[in-house]
Amino acid sequence: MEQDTRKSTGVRRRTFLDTLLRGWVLAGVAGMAYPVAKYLTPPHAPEAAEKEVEAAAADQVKPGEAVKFEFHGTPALLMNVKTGFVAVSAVCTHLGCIVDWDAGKSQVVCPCHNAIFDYNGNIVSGPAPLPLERFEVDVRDNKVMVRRKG
Amino acid sequence: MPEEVNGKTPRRKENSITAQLRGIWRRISLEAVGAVVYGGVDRRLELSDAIEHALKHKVPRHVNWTYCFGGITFFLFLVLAATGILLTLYYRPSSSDAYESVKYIMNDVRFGWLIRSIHHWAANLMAFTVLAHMVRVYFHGAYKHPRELNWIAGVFLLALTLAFGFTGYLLPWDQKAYWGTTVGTRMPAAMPFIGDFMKLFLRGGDEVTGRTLSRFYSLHVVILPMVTTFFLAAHFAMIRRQGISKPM
Repeated sequence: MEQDTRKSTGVRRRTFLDTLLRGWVLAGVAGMAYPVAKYLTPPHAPEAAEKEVEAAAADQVKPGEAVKFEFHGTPALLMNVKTGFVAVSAVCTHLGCIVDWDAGKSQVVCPCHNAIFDYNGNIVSGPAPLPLERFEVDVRDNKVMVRRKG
Repeated sequence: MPEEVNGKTPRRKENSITAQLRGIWRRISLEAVGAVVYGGVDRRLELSDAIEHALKHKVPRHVNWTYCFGGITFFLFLVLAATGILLTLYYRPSSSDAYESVKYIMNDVRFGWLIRSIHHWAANLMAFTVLAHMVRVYFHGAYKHPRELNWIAGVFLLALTLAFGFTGYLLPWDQKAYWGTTVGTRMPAAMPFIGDFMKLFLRGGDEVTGRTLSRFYSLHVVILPMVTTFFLAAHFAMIRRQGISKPM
């Protein structure tokens, strides 16, 4: 027969030790599961996406011309038009092809399905459902700096 | 369950959430695992004899703490496998991305520093425990007849551990890794006749490049783990079959 070790507290030794052991195991498992769960969830990187990018040297892009550059991992287009430097995302909003600069018409053209945008990224014609994302542009010390609007 | 043993305590009325929590609490125990294994699972698969044979296996009296190094090594191997699998989720094995992705793991991924540091230190520790295990076996003469085959398997495991270390060293793709591998792959070039071939074969080219990185990554996460698992299984099967050696 098991001895009743409750005494004054009303808790038996076995129950106490059982609870202690289970709590210890649970704490151990949780202590491993928590960092792993956090690790598996990838972090957002808003700071990185806010950072300015140097698109090109200002004298490298002559009036009426355009260059492509990389904006946080995606292609983008920097144009020198009559209003100055304009930068837009070069990923077509239709099916994600990379758009080209048509210097003759001062338009942005997608080679895949002929979606056409003006140099501000607004839709002119074709299948694109949305305008191209337009970035903010600053010229400092002959460097064209581009950042996301916000 | 202890509460029900003496039958004196009448069941208190509890609301359903508390009751459920108590149920979950009660299930967190080895008894619960035993209830499943000896209950439903055993009725179908009849495993209890084998499990009991394995769990109630008696360790000889002369065994002391110096016999633990082999087991610690295996534990570290499991830790390395778990953290290594986690690291592959963010690591990118290419010459342009490898260093950046390691920096990302260390600085941006939550607890990435922890996972990578555990991997790093467990690897260092494993080299030490392997050697400690080997020293123990050597000075106890435990490699002698009839355990020669297990010694040979152990020597292969030592080589595999060092190969893990050597290939893993390149993966961060920093200056230390690059030059360490440049020197390390130049060493076999000193071998007569096959030296030049060995260097070319290890590097995947004349120089240490992104191709070397791909090669070492493949070795580190695919080939070596498979081969090591095979040798570990053989190592453990032999020690169970032959038993721990008697002291000299």
